Amino acid sequence: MLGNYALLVLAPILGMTSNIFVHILVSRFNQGRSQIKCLIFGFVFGLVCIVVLSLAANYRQVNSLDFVAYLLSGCIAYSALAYVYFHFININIASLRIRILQEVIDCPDGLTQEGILSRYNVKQMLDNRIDRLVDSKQLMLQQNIYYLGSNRTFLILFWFFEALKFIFLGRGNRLLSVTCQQTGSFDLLLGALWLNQFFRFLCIGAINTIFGYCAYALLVILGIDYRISLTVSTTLAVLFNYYTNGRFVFRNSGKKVLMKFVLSNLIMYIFNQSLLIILVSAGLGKLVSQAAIIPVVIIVSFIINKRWVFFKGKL
Amino acid sequence: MQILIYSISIVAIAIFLHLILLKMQQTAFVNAIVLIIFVFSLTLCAGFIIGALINKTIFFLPGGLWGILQVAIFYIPVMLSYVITYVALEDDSPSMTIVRFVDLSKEKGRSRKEIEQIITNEILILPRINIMLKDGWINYQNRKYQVTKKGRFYNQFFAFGLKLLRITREG
Repeated sequence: MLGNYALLVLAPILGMTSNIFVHILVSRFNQGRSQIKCLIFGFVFGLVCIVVLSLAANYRQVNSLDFVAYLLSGCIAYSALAYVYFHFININIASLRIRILQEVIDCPDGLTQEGILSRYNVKQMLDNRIDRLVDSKQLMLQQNIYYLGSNRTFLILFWFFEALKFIFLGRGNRLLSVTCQQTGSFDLLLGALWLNQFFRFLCIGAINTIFGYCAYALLVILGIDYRISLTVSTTLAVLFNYYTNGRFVFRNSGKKVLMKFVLSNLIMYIFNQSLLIILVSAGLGKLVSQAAIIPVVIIVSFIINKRWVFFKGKL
Repeated sequence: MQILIYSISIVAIAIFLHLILLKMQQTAFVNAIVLIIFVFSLTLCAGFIIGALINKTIFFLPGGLWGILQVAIFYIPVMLSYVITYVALEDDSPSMTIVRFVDLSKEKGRSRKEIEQIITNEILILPRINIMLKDGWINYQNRKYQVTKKGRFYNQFFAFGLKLLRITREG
């Protein structure tokens, strides 16, 4: 049993080892093949290894929830390792800094700025990049004009990274916003939606709910009584909610705002509790009642936060 | 199941902590990578210490030592992925920028000249030379850039991968 569990735990490491091994083999003996295809091949091989190892270690309990959890944990860990490996390979091929560094190393006497640019500049970079984009069908070339190709992977990645940049850095792509004189990176539906305060409130609310649950789950697993865990996680969640709503949704903060926020949460809790008691007493089921109350609570909570808690002007 | 939920929860807490520190901008760390590693390490250690104190044993997760190892095998790659993604966010990818720039033109398309206007040496190459100077990969002496020991180390580290895979550096 211990041996089987060890195999389950080590499956991501073993899967990654086989991924790297297969990738090196395919890359060395199939020169000319796209590196992305070699990496995908290695990734799939490693993933299959993990599934096979996990099944071999736990074949008697394939249908159990625990086995699914082990497999999921292993796959997530493996995917993260594969992602790191992909970037290590990609940096080697595509990194501008590494390429510039190579040019400086190749000249023992050193290089002036003009010297660096004569050896490696934007024109060469664009030649390499655009060729790769056309080869991978991200772009297509017709009569010296470039159009979007059939492969939309990079475009999807662009929007994914734009969303992350907005969350982490508070800005979008600088190259496009400065040179194209766009008003912002989010000029499509997602951008228009994000400008809507209620949409932001819903998104931040979802994140806050995840945070609250993660805090509760962590405390319970650590061995703290579930009632104390709920109290502590709710306190943390209220503070976190205050910060995220103040920062991202209503753009207002301060001690007074915090006090109003705590009070409004208490009001919403009493409101929710009262409504729930009324509906359950009226004969509606406990689960259905709360499900029905949630949209009401969300809307009332948004109005209270907007018009009172985070309100900046005079009423 | 307990280990999976514990691992995901602790990663989520670490990410939220990092976001808060980032937005508060009250940190002594000048290096974003060091900050992320610090926050993640602190969260993981705090999780284990609190669990050990409450349960009076370090092996409070199912599976004992293997349970802790499972959490570590989940946590560390996710942390590294987070570091890589965060660092990638700070630089705008030229390839993704080109694709989006062409996408903006819709049916009209873009000529090579138009693409060259949004990506220039001043925007792409020169700032990277400055970053390498700041990070100590190269130094500037007698009006010339020369590689440092640190720069040579990084180059050799990455060049090893190239040799192993028999691929060429393109940039």
